[in-house]
Amino acid sequence: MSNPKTAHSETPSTSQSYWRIVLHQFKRNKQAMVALVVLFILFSVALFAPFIAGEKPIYLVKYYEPKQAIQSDKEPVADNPTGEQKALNPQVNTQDEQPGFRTYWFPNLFKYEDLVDVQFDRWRAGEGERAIYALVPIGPERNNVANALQAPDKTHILGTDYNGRDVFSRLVWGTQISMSVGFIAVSISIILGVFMGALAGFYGGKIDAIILRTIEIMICFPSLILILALIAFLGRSIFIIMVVIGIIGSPGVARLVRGEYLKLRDSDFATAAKATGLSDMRIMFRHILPNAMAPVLVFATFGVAGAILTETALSFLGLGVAPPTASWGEILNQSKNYIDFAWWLVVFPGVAIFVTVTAFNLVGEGLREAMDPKMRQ
Amino acid sequence: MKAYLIKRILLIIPTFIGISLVTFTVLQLSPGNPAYMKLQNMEGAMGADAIPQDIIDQTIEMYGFDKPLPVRYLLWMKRLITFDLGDSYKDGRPVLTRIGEALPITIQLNVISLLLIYLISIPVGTYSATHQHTRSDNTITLGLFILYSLPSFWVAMLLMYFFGGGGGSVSLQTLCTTMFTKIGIVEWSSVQWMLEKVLHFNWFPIYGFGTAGSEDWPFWKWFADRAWHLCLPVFCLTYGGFATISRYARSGLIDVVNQDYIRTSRAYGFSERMVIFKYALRNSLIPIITLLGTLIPAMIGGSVIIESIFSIPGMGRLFYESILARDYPMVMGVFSITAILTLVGLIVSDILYALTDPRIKFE
Repeated sequence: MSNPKTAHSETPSTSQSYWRIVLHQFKRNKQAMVALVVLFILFSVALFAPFIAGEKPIYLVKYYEPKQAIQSDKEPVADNPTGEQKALNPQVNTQDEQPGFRTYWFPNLFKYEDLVDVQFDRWRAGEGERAIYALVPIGPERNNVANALQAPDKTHILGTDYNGRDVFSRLVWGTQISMSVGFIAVSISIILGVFMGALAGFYGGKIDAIILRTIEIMICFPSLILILALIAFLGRSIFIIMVVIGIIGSPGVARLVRGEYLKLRDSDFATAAKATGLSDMRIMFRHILPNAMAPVLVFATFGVAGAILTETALSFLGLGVAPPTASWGEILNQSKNYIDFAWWLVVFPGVAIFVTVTAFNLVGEGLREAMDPKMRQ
Repeated sequence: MKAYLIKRILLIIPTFIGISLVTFTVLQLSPGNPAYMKLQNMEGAMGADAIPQDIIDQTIEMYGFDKPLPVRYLLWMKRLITFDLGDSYKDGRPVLTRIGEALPITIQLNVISLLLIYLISIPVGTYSATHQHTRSDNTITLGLFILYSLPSFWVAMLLMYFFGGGGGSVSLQTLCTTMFTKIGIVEWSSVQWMLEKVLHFNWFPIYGFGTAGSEDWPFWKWFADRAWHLCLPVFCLTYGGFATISRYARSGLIDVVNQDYIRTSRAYGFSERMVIFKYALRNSLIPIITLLGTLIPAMIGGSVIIESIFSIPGMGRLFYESILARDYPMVMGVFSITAILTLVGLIVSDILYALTDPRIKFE
């Protein structure tokens, strides 16, 4: 807060110490701390999925042979002092190509024009070539029907699905989908909810009544039913899922924020801000909002868990992320047909969902307890 | 009180109009509508599968997509008010008739689950609150937390796998007869047999709402058959809500017990039993009633998953199948009816709240 003149210039110090108390309380909660570590691991898995599982190597030295047709038209370049550099940036030199070893850094992250994705054999290192692979060198979308429905063994540590795809690899890549749905959906909820709740709580009266009605209308639509109805018309799409989960979650945030604003709008610091002639928007979002965010943070943590559950449920119903993209719910969906024997298709994705949801819930619970003055000892 | 009730019921009107607007907006995204066509051109990826022309033509005619927007809205509003939701594309029967067949099943499932939720969670919450910070309270709290985080569809799959005849399963009957024959001799072989079979049972049916032809059976047999079929689905629908309500029941009772009037009644020397059950518990139950309002939408959403897993011919399964079959009148019908039913549920919970808590006034 950059407003030294007004009475709430001391707000930063008090709010800082408030968060310090919360942090201190949170650290004492062992369950929540463990859950936080689990979340950190899950984030890392989502972020570094290409390094954990995938057939594209992290580092590849491959012998490159240019196509003859292109080569014949161009005259060979005699002096080429920066040959090595060009090999490092293979996209740059398309005109004067020469056969030789080329080094590719992170083909798992970037696209190289002379490495074609579709052919899996391209990623294999041949004679004299070198490659460093991800921990599990099997891609999440790599079919191998001959290997379908294999129980866990050395190559497929969590087994394979009906297309012979590696379950571990799919779980790792599914983390990305679940995490991004969770976070984007909850961000949408918070932005919409804070805006609605702030307006309703700050102004009251007619605006409040209209927003309360809107909230009541939105609550009448169970989120799963609304998403399914939209999917029925528009086809399956990850964006619809994120946006609808976000919109459906916003009334909850709006109610919380409204309550906080009702409490805070007549507080001394808000009155003082008003007395200095600040605009309503500034008071609402710069002065009151930081003081009203604590319960929203707790709600958001639980919200991420809920959003992930909804996404996995949709994928489980076969109406979530479009195939062949990997998603936790989609693996569980397959297991319906092989329930007699394929226990690895039931257990592992379920554990992944359960652990993620529990971790978010535990962190939310820990935050809630840390912020509750009654719980402090 | 009366004024509150009247106001609450009058507020249904704007909410109903709101519901009609939302459903109408969703309807505008259906194939055959100009807005849908525009979206389709904008994003080629959406709705990748081609929709048959006759379905598009039917939809245009049914919802009047060739007419201007306000007329379309009035047409939709008329359909909602008169409950004339058209005929299903799939079998040509009226949407309302099919919903009428499916709805009682869903209501039955959800009412049983709701009753169970409240019947179990209030004692559990009370026990937990009166034994605060003891080991049993901590265990219950952790257990409820785990239940709360378990995805219902996964639990359903696990139950089907372990109790529905997956793996090397054994039926309840075989288990019992073998138990009886071996009960005399406790020896390693029988223990081993138990251990081998212990993970897979064939105890419960995993399909449908009753054995085929059970309608003609005598009542008790029909009832037992239905109860047997309902065990797993009701469990899956119940445990999540049970975890939530128990936690609220616990914290609600703790809040009440910390109030002055409880301290006063303790000071009068009333027995702890009397203080808790006569004075504290009743007040702590009031906020739990409002939770009904949040439980109902969640349970309706949950029915879609549970009914399609267990093949129960209720609203949820009807909705899911209509989506897969692109039966648009059916989708819109179930969608609107669920919203209206949820509204009714919310109002009932509001009225219950007002009846139980005389302090409630209309803001």
